[in-house]
Amino acid sequence: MTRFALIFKSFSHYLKANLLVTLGVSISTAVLTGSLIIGDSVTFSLEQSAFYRLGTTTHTVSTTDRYFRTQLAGELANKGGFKVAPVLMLEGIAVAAGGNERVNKVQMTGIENCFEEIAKSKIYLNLKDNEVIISKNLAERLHLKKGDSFITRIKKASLIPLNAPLVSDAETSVSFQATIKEIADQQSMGFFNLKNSQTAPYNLFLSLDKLNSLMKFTGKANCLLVSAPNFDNHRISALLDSCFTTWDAGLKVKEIPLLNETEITSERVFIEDQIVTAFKPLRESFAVLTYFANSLEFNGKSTPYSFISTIDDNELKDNEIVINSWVASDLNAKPGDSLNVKYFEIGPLRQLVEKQVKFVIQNVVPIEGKYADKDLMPSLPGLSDAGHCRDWETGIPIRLESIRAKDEGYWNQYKGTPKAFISLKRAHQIWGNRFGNYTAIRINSADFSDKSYNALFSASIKPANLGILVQSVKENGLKAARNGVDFSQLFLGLSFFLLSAAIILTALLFLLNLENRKTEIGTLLILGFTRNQIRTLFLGEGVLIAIVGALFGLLIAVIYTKLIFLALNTLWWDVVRTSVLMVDIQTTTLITGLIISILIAILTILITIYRNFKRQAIELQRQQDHQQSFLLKRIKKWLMFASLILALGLTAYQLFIPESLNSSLFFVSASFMLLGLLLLADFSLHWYGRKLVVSVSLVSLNQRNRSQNIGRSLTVIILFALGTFLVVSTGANRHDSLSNIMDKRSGTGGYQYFAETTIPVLFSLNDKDRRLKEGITTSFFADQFSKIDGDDASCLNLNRATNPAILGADTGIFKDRFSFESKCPEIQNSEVWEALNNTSSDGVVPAIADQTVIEWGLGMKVGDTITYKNNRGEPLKLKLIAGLSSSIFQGFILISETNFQKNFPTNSGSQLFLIDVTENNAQKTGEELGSVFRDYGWEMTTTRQRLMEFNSVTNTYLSIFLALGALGLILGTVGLAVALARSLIERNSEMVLLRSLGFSRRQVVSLLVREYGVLLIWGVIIGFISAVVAVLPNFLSAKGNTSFLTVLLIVAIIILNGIFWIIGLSFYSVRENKKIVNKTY
Amino acid sequence: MILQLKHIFKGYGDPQKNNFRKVLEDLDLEVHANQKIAIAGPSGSGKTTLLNLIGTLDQPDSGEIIFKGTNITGYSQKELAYFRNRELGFVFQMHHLLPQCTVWENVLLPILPIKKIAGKAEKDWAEYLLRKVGIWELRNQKPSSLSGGECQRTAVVRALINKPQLILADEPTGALDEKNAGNLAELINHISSEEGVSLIVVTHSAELASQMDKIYKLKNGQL
Repeated sequence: MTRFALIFKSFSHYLKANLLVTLGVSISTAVLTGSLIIGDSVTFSLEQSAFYRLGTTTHTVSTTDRYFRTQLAGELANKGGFKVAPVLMLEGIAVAAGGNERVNKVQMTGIENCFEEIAKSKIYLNLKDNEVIISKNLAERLHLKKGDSFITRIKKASLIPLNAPLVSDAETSVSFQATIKEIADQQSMGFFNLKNSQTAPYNLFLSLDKLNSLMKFTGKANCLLVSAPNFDNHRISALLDSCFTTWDAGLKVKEIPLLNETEITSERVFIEDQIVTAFKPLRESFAVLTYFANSLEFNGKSTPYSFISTIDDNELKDNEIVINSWVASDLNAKPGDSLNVKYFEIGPLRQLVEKQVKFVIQNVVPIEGKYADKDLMPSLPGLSDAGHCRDWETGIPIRLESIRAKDEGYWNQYKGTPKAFISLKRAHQIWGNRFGNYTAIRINSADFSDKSYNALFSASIKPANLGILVQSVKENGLKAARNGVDFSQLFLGLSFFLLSAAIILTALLFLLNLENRKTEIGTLLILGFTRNQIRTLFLGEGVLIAIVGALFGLLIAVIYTKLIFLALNTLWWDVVRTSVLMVDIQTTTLITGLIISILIAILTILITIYRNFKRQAIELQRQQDHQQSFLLKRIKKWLMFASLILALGLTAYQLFIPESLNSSLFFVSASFMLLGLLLLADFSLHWYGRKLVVSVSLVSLNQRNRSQNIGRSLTVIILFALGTFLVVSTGANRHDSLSNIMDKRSGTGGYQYFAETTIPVLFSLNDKDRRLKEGITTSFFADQFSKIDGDDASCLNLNRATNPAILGADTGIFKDRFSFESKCPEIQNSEVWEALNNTSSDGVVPAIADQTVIEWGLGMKVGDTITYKNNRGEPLKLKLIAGLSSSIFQGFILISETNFQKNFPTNSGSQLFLIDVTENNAQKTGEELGSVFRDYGWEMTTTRQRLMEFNSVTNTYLSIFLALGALGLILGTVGLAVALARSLIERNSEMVLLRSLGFSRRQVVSLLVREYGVLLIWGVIIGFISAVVAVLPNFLSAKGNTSFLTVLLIVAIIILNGIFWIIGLSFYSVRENKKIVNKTY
Repeated sequence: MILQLKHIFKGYGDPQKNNFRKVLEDLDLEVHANQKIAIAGPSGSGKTTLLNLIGTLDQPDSGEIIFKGTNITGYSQKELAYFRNRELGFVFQMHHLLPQCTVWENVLLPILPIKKIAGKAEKDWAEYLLRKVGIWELRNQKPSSLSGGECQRTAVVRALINKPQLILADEPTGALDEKNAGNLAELINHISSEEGVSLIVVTHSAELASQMDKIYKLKNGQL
């Protein structure tokens, strides 16, 4: 016989009782390990989704608004020895069923055969003409199958930025009829997406050649998919640099025989400064800027619509102009006269502002030689290819009535030959724009050679300088997946009460076992075992219980996880928004969960043993209650008073301070309230146990009975107090409705509608003339925003967002709109929006985002900086200066329009709109805009709906918390039932005695129900009061919205559930007593 | 003299409050080696309290308990546990055998506080005692398979396993029928004589009391 053998014998002898304890351990193991597995599984699923959406792509070479040669892919592949597929990626709309089924934001990708190697699927081979492959989700949405036809409308890609001066906006999209060759599922790149998101986009693949022809391009791509697992960004960038040519930068070279010059132009019309600088070393090179003037005026006469260029003449002053003889004759002007030049300056949304500038005529030149150079006119579609002036399609309005026959004559003879010339410096001052300050570079042909041209280009211009960037999409994707929402922590937090209830149940059941064996403990003490030795014996049993329970719990953990995933894929879909969640069970996680669970169980049992072993042997033998030490009594009393005073004081203070209510402080008050009230319950139970009773009554009998086993009574109170507190405070925080939602300070900013388009709208919706033209009749005001695409940083994306989408905002429009949850301390409350216009000396740009985005999407805080790359490939640092309170901007980063245009000048048009309209006109306006902008892929929701969608995520998390909390309460009820059943067994003789004294069965049941019912209700009241304090801001704040019904319903269910068990067990025990009574007599 | 109690006072409740009850008041007792003593008295007189004090299961409010010349009143819990294990043996009205252990394991249980495993000497001694009380054949049975008398005999062997100087028996025959009570009384008496162990018995049984060397009556807190 050894102590070890004694432990095993005791464990197996009391197996049934011990197995009950293992149940508690199993549940806590299942919840804890389950949470860890859930976290692993979500991360695994997100990683898998990264593989599904990228195929074998490891890197991309991409740009926002430029296009390069498709051959670049082959050249890069040859140099690196890896696979590269060129693609042209645009956005569009898919329409089926005669326009009744419409899907916006479809990702349209033009591919070549080599895409098959990225996708590892042969379905992408040999796509002909109108054949397309669509993703399964798109097919399901449009109810289409293989072989069906439908219409697509694709955003018109333009080599020239659409907001550049003089560019026509006639065609912003192109449509074509597509026929479905194949439907791509998850395994065959149907989920293709370069952005880090678990939500699959709608995908459409077509032949790259076909897409090029629709865009009126030849051999262009805007992205290379690189499969190079053994290469890093640096190496790929270096290889790309060596393949990158002037063609990829959109540069063209042309001979000008008339002048013996070679001309370098850009297909983007305007040439960036850095390119001009690169070619400066070419001998005798000079740059040119040619612009289109509305009129040249002198002395009441006007020459309409003329090109003005710059000449390389050091003697031409900045206020001087050289005109050709045709103009001189038309205006009857001569050198020395003052000439007025009118032209349009083009702002954002193609707002035209007519400006004028005066020059002094320095000279009149004949139309010959360099003054007869029609090639100085930039190649502008709609202008340079027009046969007549009346056929012009420019980006500015042409008053046809002002075009005279002589003007047509000039055009016929000289085309766009400039009629006047000014200095380059002056031209930059008036016509320089964010797209570039030059329209051509001219070099003496004798000094030009292809070799030096290419060499200078390669030496100075790298793809990154033009915003063509290499990105490690796979590495970034996996990183975003791994750093996304931590579901382990989340579920541990959400199931906190369930875990606590399981631990309390373990302790309670083990304690009951210990109490059952008190005489055994007493005997061992008498036999000379020290307390430590006895503790060790019971702890040994506890270790066995913990191990058995934890092992069984691992099995339950797998089932628990699968159930949670089933719920996440269905009921709680709002939280994950993907159907590709997979359970991933890792051995290390199981072992970690097992070890932690065993340790927690052992600790719980150890604490129980230590607390129970304070009793003397004789108390155990006599089954007496342990007497509290005087010191402990004192400490508990003072703690009780301190907690209650602190709770009431903090609450009163919060109610009377003028600033907005602080939710965290209310929660602190509630915690103190909970502690204080529980200590009050403990104090009361002890007091009732001690007090001398003179008037003996059923009430006094109940009080005595409740105080007989204070530990057990307190456990019931604590369990139900905690459970009620958690469940009620959670239920009261649900955002089921949004009051005061149209307040300007609310998350909607007072706007009625939030709209997005797939195809950018290039004009202002507030332009009266444009409204007339588009047929918009309702009265409203629209605020429009430029947008750079990026990661979805809202709560709808589980991945860690690194570069959220950016919006450019006119800061003036938001005065007194929205409110902020946090801001940099140096900014005044009333000046937050204005602060967006400040730029620090180191070039850091201020930005604002939703607080949720900052905290949860980005994992950052106000004051932190995010780094992007702008159109020129330069780093762009955005400093988060404030966090918006739950707003419609969730998912975006806001910067000032000025900073946006500075950094993303080639971004054209608006894709996001906020509509301000009266409630009477709201519906009509919404319908009208939806109809007018249908072909832009207009998607509009009310701002209320948008906020509700975000709230749905929060509400779903709260629902999960409630569901798991309710499970915890059920467990608590099991604990109550077990403790109650145990007590009734122990008090069997007491019940028999009462019956023999003449109490009826009903009276005995009533006594028991009152005894335990009071404990239950006591606990619920404590929990409820504390919960009300915790959610007081919701009751008091104007923005608050508390679901009273939900709260009361929850409390009622808790009480009814508990009473059910109490009545049931009490009746059962009295029924059993009857048998014993019958047996005895 | 192996045991001396001097001026023992013991009460229950809070002395400051009116619910305080005096049980033992200025009690003295002397027990010599090999002496057998019975303590009788009406219910509530403090017999069990006295036994618990002697057995160091409880502490007197005042007074001294001297065992073999050593004052054990101020002993720590650990020292008391060791003392109980080596010097005392207990027999209760309810046998308090561990239900999960066999007779053999129950009788060897007192070895475990001091040693990890019972050695040959202890096992031989246990066998001797079990044969002596006539339950050697039942050594592999669990208490649930034994009669009350057999359980009590096991308890007696357990009390003697560490060769104590003094056995304390609290109503050892109280739960037995007349025949078994008689047998047990004879057994306790006989064994303590043979093994040279002093005996203090609290009993209502006249028969058992009559077999003791001395009978004390506990009245008004004094012997």
